[in-house]
Amino acid sequence: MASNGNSTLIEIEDLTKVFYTDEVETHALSGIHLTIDRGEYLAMSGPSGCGKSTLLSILGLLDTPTGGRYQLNGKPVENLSFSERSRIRNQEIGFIFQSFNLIGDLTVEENVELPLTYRAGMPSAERKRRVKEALERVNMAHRMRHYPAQLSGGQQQRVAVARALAGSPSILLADEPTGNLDSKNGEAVMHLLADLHREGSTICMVTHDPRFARHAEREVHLFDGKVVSEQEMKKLEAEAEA
Amino acid sequence: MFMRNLFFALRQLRRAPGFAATVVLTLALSVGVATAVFCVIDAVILRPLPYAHPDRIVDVESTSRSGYAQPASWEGFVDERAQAHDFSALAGYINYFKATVDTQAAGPVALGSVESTDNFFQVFGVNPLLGRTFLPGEDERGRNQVVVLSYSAWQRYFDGDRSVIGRAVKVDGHTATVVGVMPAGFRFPINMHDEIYTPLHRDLPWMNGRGNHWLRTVGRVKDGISVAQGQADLAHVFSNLGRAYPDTDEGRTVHLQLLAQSIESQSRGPLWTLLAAVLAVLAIGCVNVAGLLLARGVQREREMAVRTAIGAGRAQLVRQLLVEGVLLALLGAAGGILLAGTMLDLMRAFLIKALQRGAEIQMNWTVLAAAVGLAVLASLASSALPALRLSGIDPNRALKAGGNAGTGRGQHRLRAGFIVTQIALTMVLVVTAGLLIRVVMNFRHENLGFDPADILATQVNLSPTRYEGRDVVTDFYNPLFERVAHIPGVRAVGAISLLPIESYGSNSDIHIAGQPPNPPNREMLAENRFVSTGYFNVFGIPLRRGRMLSPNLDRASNPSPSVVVNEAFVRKFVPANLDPTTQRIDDADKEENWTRIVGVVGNIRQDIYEPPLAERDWLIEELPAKEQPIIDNMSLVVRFEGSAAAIVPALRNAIHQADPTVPFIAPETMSDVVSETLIFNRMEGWLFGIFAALALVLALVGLYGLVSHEVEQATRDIGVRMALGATRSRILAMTLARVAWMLGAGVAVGLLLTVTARKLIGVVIYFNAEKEAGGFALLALILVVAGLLAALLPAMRAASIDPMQALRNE
Repeated sequence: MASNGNSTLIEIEDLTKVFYTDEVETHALSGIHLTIDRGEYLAMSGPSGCGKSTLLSILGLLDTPTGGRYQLNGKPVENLSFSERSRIRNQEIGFIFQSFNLIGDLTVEENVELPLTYRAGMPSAERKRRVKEALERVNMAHRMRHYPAQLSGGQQQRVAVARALAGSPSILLADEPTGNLDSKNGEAVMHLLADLHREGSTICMVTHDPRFARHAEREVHLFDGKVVSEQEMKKLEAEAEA
Repeated sequence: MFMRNLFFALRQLRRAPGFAATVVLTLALSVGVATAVFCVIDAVILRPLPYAHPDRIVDVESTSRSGYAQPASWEGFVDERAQAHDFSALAGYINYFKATVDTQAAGPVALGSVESTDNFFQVFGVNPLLGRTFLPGEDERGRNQVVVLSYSAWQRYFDGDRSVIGRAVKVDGHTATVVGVMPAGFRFPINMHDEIYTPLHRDLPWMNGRGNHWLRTVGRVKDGISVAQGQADLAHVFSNLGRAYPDTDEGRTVHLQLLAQSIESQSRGPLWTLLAAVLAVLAIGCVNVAGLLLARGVQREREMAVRTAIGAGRAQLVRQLLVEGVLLALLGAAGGILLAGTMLDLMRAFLIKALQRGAEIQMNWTVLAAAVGLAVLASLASSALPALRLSGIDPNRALKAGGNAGTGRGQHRLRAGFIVTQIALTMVLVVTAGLLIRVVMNFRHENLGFDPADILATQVNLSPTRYEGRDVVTDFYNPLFERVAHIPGVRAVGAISLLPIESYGSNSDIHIAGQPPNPPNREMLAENRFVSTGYFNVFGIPLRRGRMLSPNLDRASNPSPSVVVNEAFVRKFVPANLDPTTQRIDDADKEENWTRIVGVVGNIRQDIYEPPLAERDWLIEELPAKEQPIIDNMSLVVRFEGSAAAIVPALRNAIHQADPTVPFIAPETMSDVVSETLIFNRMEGWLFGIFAALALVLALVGLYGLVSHEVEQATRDIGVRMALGATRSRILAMTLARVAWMLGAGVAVGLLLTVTARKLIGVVIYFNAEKEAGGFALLALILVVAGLLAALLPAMRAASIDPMQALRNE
């Protein structure tokens, strides 16, 4: 896990993302400026379609920006090849999805081990050790041999968190991690993320629920593909409702 | 309700035309080949022979004291017929020769001729279509100038003219009266076509002597008499004759076999094995269809969940899915019948030559019903599993999952099972086809002792009456050789009584004078041939020792005939310390008439399946005039350079200039003769080859379909893997590794099956698994590579999945 210093981990300048279809040009992100420091816990919120998932995908190198600059660990990453982005994703980024996205054919242990198997040269014993550690951290070591279908939603999400942690990434990206959970399990996952943050993890979470956004140190509001202040956000929302 | 199900099924197929076309095509291909083979089995094995009470007609096979097949002598047959009690008819016949028939429609034609005793038609109990068959006593000299036409000869050469009865026609130069026409479908021997039937009356050299074995026998046992009783009766007669004529008949045995069994004996085993092969193809097709239905079922889970949610019972869902399956089956059956008909049409000439009852192969109601039944069965078998699975889904889960709940481990295992099954069955077929094709290729490249590509051969059938009192060699053969030798491109010309590869089995027991008697129960036969001097040049047969035959030295007037023998003869009969060219064969009563060996020549193959047989050759000039009818039927052989087609017209002219009454039979190269001799092997090789190729295509299509389906189903998982850092090449490798695992398992199971089923496969081809290990491994590798190539496209599709898109869809 990265150290909890104050150095900048992610730096984004004037980032844009445009989707083109036959006749329509959709500006999903327009002129985003954002920095995330190591050890920071950031929440991104906003209404549906505001671009927060698109931004998270670009942050996670699942997608590339149309314009602007993106530096991760001080290195530009906006124009890397697919395989280079895969490598960085594997080593620097841990994903937590709304719908858990565990692979049904694999056991809990195999799911958590999966990102480590994509790292060349990591011995099997080391992988097993990390998997065990990650699962113990989320209190799921006792379900190692189970398949995802045999777990509750909350348990599946804890396994997904363990999978994200196992590779010791620089940042955890969580996309609506409580979206598919009831409030009790949702709270439990939020507490888990808070614990991880206290232990030094850098976390960027997308959520539309203000209750969960409050768990973060800092909240970034997005509206129509732009970062806005909280006051601006309220005003724009009110206008939209009117 | 049924109609509603049917209309809905039709709408479903219209909505997914690609799916429907793939299923129908798969069913059509697999049902088509199964129907075609069933059609062959129906005609060759299942359908009764076209005779009255065929269960009482027997083939009488007699063997020599040394245990080799040996037909009856005329005198022996007459005694057998007189002394046997359990037969309503025991007839003798030969079909060795073609008869030259002067026809109005086509001039002189050489037709297959069955010469038989007067009671021949009683054996078969079939009434003529027109006129009558032979009357008692019509096989005696002077009363034998009658002919019965087969239906096909009547149609083809007499235009089906009903007034043909009573008409005089020239048969081998003799005038004969057409007394009857047999109905369509009657043929005996069953493999003959356009044949004629004449009463058997041969000249003295044939009819005299109990050691002269040439007459085939067929019989009908009396009502209430079993084949075993008939066998015992005739065995008793043989035993009596052995005691009465110890020199010639002692130790001869008889074996009765139902004619139907005798006819099927060559093809029965291979055809059942072929049926097993097409059932394997059908199984592959079923698995394919099941896989497709399963894949489609996953897409329809939501529809089924909605139906269940609004009250449909499991039986109703199953019925709906089965109606769809039957509809697909009927469409598949229609395609299959079309395919089977086309296959049989394309292979008709092949089948007629390869199978004794090949001409009877045709589509009929039984076959059509079998095709529809097979298709429905195949479709029901394929749709049952998907139907049960779909009808049993949890609607709540399926509706929540948005109709995409099909990525469980059970499904993966099922799909893997499908692939492994298909590949395993394909492996068995590919191995069998490979072995069969290799056998044919080996035979084709066998060293025959001559180059078959450069030799043309045609049959010459002379009218015996035309050369009565004349020297056929001086008056016909020598002038013909002279004319043919001057045809541009001809390098050598000659004649032989039995064409190598095509015919063999005219033989005699041999004993070298001065040697100890032949050991009992040991085959001591040598093939007998009559040849012209040019024959050796045409076949490139070298002289090894002594001298070649020569018309100047080897004359009919010599007291003792001279022969050349081949190296196989020397090895078999002449002790190593003796000079074969000083030996004589004690084959005549008087020592001065014993045959002299004057030369030793190289071996050539007479029978492609056997090593060279011992052979002795006489010069045709040595035959005394009274024995010259033996060479009325000879094979004219020509060594040529350039194009055979360019020589054929000149050859026709030469024959007609030598004798205009000789029917011209289109010549064939010896390569063609080899091909025709191997026709059964080729048929097996071709059919297994086609089935193996079809199985391979079906298996690869199935593999492609199932891998595509897996990729489609696993899109989200692949997206997750990519999000976690998997590169495209890793996804490609992962997909192909899974396919390779399934292919490997399929190939391993297939090899195991091949070894396990070697007894069944051994009916068509014997193999030693240990010796063939290298070949099997190569075929396995080819299959795995082909499978990986088939899976490459869907695997590449998997590798090109956009992870963000895949996860967003989720």
